[in-house]
Amino acid sequence: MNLFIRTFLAVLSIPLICKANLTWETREVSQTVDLSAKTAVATFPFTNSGDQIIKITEVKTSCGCTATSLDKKIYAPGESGEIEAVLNIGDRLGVQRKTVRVYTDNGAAPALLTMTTTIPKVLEISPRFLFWKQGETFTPKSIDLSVGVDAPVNITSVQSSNGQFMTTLSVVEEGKAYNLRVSAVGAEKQRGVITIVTDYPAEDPKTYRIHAHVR
Amino acid sequence: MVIASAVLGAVNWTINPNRPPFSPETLQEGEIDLVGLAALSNPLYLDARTLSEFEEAHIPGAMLLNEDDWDQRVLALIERWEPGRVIVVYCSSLACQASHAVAERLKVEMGIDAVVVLKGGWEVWQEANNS
Repeated sequence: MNLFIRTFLAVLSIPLICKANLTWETREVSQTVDLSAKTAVATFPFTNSGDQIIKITEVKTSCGCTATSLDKKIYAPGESGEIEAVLNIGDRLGVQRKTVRVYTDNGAAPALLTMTTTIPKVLEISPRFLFWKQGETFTPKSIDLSVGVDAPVNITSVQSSNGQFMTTLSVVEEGKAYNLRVSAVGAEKQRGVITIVTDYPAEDPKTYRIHAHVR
Repeated sequence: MVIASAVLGAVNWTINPNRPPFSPETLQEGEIDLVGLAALSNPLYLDARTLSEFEEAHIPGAMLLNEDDWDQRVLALIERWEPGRVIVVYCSSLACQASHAVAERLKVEMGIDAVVVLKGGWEVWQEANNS
């Protein structure tokens, strides 16, 4: 047989000979967490489906915000284990996609695990920072507020910490969308915080802050 | 098998709108490399890594801003940032996405448009500045 063909067949047979391999029950976990959640946890069970002992040499996450834990590193043929990934929610919002790469000593490419976490945004506010330059015309600025949960959210109050920033709230769609117009009065340097209070969730209503500066 | 793989790969490259860049060095929209960075005048660096990573070492003058503690730390940013000053966000390496998340929030939530992500992040900057 031609040397090239023999080499080609040998390369193809490598996966059949070296059967130390982790089989994952799932490589993707998607979930939506509660508003009060501090962390999101995803579990990735696996089994050593090969006929050799396998060692997990490294587990790398795509973000320092995600910690992983593993019971042990060495798994006999047929033995199962799991990797747990914990996302620190902190002030994260919206869809968070974090990956975990699992390296083993079998020479295979690392297994890529994906954890997708949806963190509800009660109110999406854009922008949350208003800036006027001293000397410019103080045109009022507009802020869009849209509800990001499947429930009506009402704004119960809007308060400015500085009377030089005047606010006018209008309802675009009851319980769904609002608009806030902010005017700056006076030409001197100033700053203020506009606090928006909602009625959702009822047990711990969310409050948001918008920063306004004249510099 | 090799030929079939090559054909399928070529088809995917041609029609897949989500194909990865041909070269890992290709800059995506909103990214900057060290060459582009050198051309910026007095950028404001934001470190999107964790507090412990930031405390260990960071680009001189950088501020910490990550999503662990966004609401508090963004206050320090808006005190320091001036319109027209470009913000450069970085995280640990090519693989991390934290810098992109921070850049996106600065644009959408804070209305700051002059924001770029340093491709390769801290790893690339450190290599360039320690060699």
